Amino acid sequence: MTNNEQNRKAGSANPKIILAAVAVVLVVAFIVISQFTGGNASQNDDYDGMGSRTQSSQAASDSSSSEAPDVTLNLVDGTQKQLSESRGHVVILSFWATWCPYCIEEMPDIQKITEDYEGVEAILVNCGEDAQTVEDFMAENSYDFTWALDEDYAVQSTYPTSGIPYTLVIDAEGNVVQAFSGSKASGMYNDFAAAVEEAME
Amino acid sequence: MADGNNKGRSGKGPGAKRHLIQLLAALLYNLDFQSIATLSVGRAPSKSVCAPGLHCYSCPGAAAACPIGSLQQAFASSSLPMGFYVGGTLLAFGALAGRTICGWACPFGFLQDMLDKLGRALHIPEVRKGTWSRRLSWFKYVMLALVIAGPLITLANDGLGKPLFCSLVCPAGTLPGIALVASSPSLQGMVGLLFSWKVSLLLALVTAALFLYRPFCRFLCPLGALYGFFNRFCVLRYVVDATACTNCGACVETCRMDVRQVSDRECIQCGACKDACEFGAIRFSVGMRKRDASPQAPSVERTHHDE
Repeated sequence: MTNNEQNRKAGSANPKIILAAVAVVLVVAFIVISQFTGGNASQNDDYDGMGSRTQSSQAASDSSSSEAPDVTLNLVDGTQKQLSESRGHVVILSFWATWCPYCIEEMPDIQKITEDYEGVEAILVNCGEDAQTVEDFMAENSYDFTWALDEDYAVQSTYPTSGIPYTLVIDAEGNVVQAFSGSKASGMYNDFAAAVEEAME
Repeated sequence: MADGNNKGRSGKGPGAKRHLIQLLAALLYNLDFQSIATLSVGRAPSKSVCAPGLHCYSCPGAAAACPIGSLQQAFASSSLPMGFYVGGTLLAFGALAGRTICGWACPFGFLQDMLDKLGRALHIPEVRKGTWSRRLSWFKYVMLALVIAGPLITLANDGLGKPLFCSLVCPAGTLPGIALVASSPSLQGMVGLLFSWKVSLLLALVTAALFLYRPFCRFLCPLGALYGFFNRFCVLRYVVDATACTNCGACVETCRMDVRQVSDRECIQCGACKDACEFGAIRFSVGMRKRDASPQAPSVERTHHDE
């Protein structure tokens, strides 16, 4: 292919070869990287890794403590409740918003956990939205959750939720067993169940 | 800038000055130093404003919002006010600058420009444009369709609109994503095939950018596709003086984007053509003007490097 040779002489390359090379890079990179992801990576056993990342986090910045910071929850019905009042049973604390499709997608999994495991309380803390928005959502979706508002992000900033959904499984003593950043497309039920079972030990 | 003197070269194009402005503009997209230090996603009030280039709202450094991400969110939430707001912002950016934004104020474009320089410095063989790249440049309109259709179709399907371009394609978000995942054992346990795909795509684009000029901008960027519509009449752009132009085609030949004419939809307004014009017919124009009498495009066969 003399045309190809001419291009080489001029310091340029055959587009087909380069595009093929780029495609090979893509495939090889994909195979290599997927060896390190998808649950093959280390699970987060301790809560302490995340806590230092928000400026207002206090208890969580103590690396030896996995205690869930106690917060005042403003429930949708207007009452208030301390998170510590839920000690004595396992709590799933999940941060969400109506504009977050992945938060909404994991709610059925949370619901199923509360049905399958006795005594588990699911507290869903809405991030930054007003009561009406949350009530409209509740009306359209029937879940047995404790719904809390957090319009000024006060609760959220106590926890390192730079992204949502952010779901924590807390045992009866108030310690965080596991924190999940984001959710998987394949569903979170198994992950939640494993954490809840560990919390119940 | 040019004084319209048509007797000879009217001066060089912007050259290195453009890269300096690109560097400064890149800071615009990385101003949230506190969030960078804590590797968290910021929520400052400034993030309700769009910055014009392609970047990611979820980047810790972002002090503003990405217009493409915001557009998808407007579709996903079916919010008319948000739709008008984002649409209006894009119209304003486009009408002001068109793809001058691509050439001067986009951080991902800047990254590719620097990779190009690196590639040439390392004597990596360059893949020149041709009919193949001209054809491939249409694919960014498919990406634009994905930006619009993705949230709408997912919204219609299961009531939840999702930003498919952001999750499936955009490399600008992958860069900070790698940093966020690397620093969080919790995230590491969560990421799967999609993350592998995004990182691979980023690596492939970085590799490609060493061999060919601005591969993402030319073939994949929906924002460039959008801004391209404004290139013929925006306020800030290069124009050709038809009386001085001799149709020699040097401008199109020098140009590393897949243009047919100066300042058409593929032009990123970088000014390299101004350097190439021996007749001083090209200058940077600031202002509203009537559609200028653009010269006929030089014959395509003369200016393409076919394989």
